[in-house]
Amino acid sequence: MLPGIGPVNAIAVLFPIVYSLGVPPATVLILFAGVYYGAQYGNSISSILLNVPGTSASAVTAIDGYALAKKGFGGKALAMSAVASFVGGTISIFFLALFAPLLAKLAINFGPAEYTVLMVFAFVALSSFSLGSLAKAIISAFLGLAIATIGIDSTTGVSRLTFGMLELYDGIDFIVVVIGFFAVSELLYILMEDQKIKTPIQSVTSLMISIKEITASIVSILRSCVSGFLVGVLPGAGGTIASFIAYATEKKLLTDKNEFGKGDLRGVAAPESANNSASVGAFIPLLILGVPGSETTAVMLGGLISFGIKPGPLLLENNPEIFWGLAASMFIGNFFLIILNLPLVGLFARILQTPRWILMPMIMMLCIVGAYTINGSEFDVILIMIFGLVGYIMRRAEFPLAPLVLGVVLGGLIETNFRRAMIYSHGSVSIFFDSAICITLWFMAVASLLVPSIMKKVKIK
Amino acid sequence: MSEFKHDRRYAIVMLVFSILYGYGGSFAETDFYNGVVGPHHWIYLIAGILACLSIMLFLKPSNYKPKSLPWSTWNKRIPLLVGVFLYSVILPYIGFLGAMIPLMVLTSMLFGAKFKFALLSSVIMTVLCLILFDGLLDISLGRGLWLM
Repeated sequence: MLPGIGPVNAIAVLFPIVYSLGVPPATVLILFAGVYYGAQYGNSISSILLNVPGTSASAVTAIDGYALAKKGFGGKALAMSAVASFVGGTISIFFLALFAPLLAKLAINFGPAEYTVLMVFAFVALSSFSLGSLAKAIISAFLGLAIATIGIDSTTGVSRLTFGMLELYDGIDFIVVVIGFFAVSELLYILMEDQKIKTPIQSVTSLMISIKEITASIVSILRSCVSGFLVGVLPGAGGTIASFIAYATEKKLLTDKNEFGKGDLRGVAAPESANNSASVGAFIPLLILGVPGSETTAVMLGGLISFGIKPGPLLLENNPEIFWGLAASMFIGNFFLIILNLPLVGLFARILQTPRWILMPMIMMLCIVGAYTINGSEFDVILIMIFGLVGYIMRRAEFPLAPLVLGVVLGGLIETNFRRAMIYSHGSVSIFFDSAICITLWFMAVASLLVPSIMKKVKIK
Repeated sequence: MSEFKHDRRYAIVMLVFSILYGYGGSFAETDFYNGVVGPHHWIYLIAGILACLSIMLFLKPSNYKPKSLPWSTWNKRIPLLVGVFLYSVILPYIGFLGAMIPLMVLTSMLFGAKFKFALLSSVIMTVLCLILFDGLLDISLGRGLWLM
């Protein structure tokens, strides 16, 4: 909800705490999932009342949401956002329960070569859907892979790039990377850019929306829910693209769109339904294929691996409580989101006004404590500052950070699978093109490289 | 100055990094592996692709133009970074409370707080954090030499 402090930072700071407490993996995943989809709704509050989206996924909500708030209908916009998020989130849970077991059956045939190509596809998709230069996005992913190579090699047990430093023998924990690159760099960014919220916070009036208004928006909500889920399943696409696609689709399909873009409730409903649906859809590649589609799910994957759980097609068989526990918790979570958020929206609006000099030192303290508690090492605290500075420079240079996190989290897995595949094939790279699954994945990787540029050209025309 | 220069600068930095990274990989022990791909090959692969991407970025830079930042903003960044570094140095000796409170005061002031408010909020937040982690959750945040 707080601009610039997204679910990644929240999960990164929470992770060491739950790790130290020995919370069961299923509970941890439920907690992180709650933060993830809860943040999708929370972001809409700052978008609607402040015109400052918490994350890019709620940027489109600000167009009609803030326009409504300026007209005095901020309460209606927030209520519609909550209803759309609830409907989108709830329906997509059914999709998750329906499609995940089907995909798991297909993924059971995956060997090391297929996994390697799948991860290449995830990198390509996440990089190509990132805003800005593709080369920069891929460089960012490879920087992540480079960080993941530090420490003891899991196959041979020899140390790499440790330069005799004992602290590096266990490698760099992904949470240290996430806290550094996301939370600390954000802190430096806010400090440096001196971003002051200049837009006045709009007041929240009545939260009541009429049945007529809900009926008028229901088609948009349902349509966006389906498209959002499909986009969410694709690695790399995520809530931002889902909400943009939903908004653009509604803009095209609606017949009475005089108010669209100037304060239409459907302009709030569509992106909110889509980004909540996408956040649920993102769990399919994460849990069934072990490939995260966004930086938040990448952090969750890293967390699950740290807890000894290996997401993949066998997760449903070996740890069904994790998958079905998550699906069930999402129902409860969505229900609580709607009953908590509506009455407490006034309080949330006040939290947005917390002075930076209270909020930012508190976040910095949690970052330091979070990094320190992983290994009880001061070295990790120094690392988060180094990563924070590098992350800040990368942000300013427009290098996306999501591929970097994906690289750190998947680095070990992709290397192990690549090397296994090469051993099976006696050093022949043809193994990566042998099976139908590999060829399909290569095709999808090439398609995801081409789609953004085609979309750009279509937009220009 | 050409608008493409900034990306080229980053491309050169990345190219140098990829060379150093690949060179660092050559120090990995290679006596024990009996497979096709050794622990150093993966590093060479990453370094090679990074180098190619850097050259690509150099040859085809984006239209990126950084927003200029006044030098005064460094006056805030450097103290924060130095503060955290000092925190990690003194933490083992004086413990969490002694190290965190000055750092919190510094950070609050960098974000615009007056000294009195900064001190008050820093003490309250640090003590609450200590009670939560060390007291309730039993997670040590660093106790210093006298409480070891």
